Formats: sequence, structure tokens, C-alpha cells
Amino acid sequence: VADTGPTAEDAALSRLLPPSAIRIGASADDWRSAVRVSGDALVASGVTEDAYTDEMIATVEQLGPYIVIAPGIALAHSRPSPAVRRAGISIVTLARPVEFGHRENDPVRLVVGLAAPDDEGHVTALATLADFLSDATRREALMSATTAAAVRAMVVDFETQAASPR
Amino acid sequence: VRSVEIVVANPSGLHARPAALFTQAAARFGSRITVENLDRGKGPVDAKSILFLLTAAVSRDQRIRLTADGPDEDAALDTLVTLIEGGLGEEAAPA
Repeated sequence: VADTGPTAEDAALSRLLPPSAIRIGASADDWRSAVRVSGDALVASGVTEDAYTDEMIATVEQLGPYIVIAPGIALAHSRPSPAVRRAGISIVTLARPVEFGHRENDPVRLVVGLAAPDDEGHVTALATLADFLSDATRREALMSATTAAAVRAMVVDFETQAASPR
Repeated sequence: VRSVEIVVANPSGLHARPAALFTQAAARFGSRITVENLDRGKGPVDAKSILFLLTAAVSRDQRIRLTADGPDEDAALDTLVTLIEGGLGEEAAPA
């Protein structure tokens, strides 16, 4: 049986974010290369093809820097497309912050890449990611993570908390 | 405090550029403004933050409750409702 990976409905971050999709301290000279690293990480984990990376860059060119959704954090993504094989996420921290042209949230130190094959999967994965990123302490820890394992541990902790009764 | 319920009919829902336009418009008001996604049961969330708005996962044709609380609450709701009814900068969805 072929492993088709997580379904669109299954927005569990730990399954959407394999270790192969995490890059720590990547080099990027500008926002385009930062988005490209994030797209490359999606390609490396088998989630997308290179064309999706170009689509993510085109989205910023067309729609502006709204993807910088919190101080220091860009959410690189594009519409569901044939270049997306399955739902997935990548996380890239940058060795040097880059400017995206956002009035309040520049410079960017962390790029989260997101790909989904359909609209509903895109929206639910995005919402789960936004939940994960909505905690300022967690964002700071994520941006200063020094290993991929530390990033993965944060994701697993988040899901454990979310799953436990309040 | 004032509240209004409205269906978001533009193709992207409260995502991408429409979400950015929406939060920018909300941020111009002093009132506290929240969005609750009535169809998914998510929120209420801060309407002035795109990050929090994304957690509400408002897709096309979903019903939301907008709530404003503060000195300019009437103007805030009027502005945001007009924006949503106008399709948030996107082509209006065909009925």
C-alpha cells in the first residue's frame, strides 16, 4: 500500500512536519531566497514539487507581505495546486533576518511553509498552525531553536497539551 | 457592545489578502473587535490580528458573528460589514 501521507483533514502538526522539513539557521539574502528555502524543505520531504515554491514566491509578489503574520514570522504558502502531492508543513529558521516589506512584523527570522492539495485541508492546516503560533512564548522559543529535534519537541508538546482535558 | 451576524461570501473567506484587508480595517478602530466562526464553533478571536483571525478558519459561505465593544463600535461594525458585503476586494461569489 502506498503511503499517501496525512490526509487533508488530518491536520495534526507532528504528522505534517517530518524532520526532513525542518532547517535550522539557513542562509537567505532576501525574502525570495527565504521563501525558496522553505519551499525546498517541502520538496525534500516529498510534499511538493518545485513549481509550488515558485507559486509561493508569486503569491507574495502579487498580494504583498501579508504573509508576515506575526513579529518575525512569515507563513509562506499558495493556493492548492497540482504541484502539491499532499498536505505538509516546513519550518525554517534564518541565520540572518530578512525584510519582507511588512510595516510592523519585519524582519523575519522564521519561515513556515504550508502546502495542501485542497481548500478545506489548506484552511484547517492553516488554522492549526495559527493556533500553534499564537503563543508569543512559543514563537520566541521556535525562532531560537538550535536543533530540528527541539522544533519537533515543541510541536509534540503543543499537541499533547491540546489533546489533554482542560 | 454591538454584534452582527453575516455570511462571508468571497472566494477566499477570511484568508490571504481578504484577511489582511479585514484586519487592517479593524485595526483603525479603538473598539475591541472579535470574530466568531459560527459554522465551525471557533473563536471569538481578535479581529485586529491576522494570526488570530486565521485560527477561526473562516471559509467561503460560512457565517460569522462580529462583535465590537468601545466608543466607535457602531462605525467599526458598519465599516466591516460593508467590507465583507463588498467581497473584501475579491470578485463577489456567484449565487
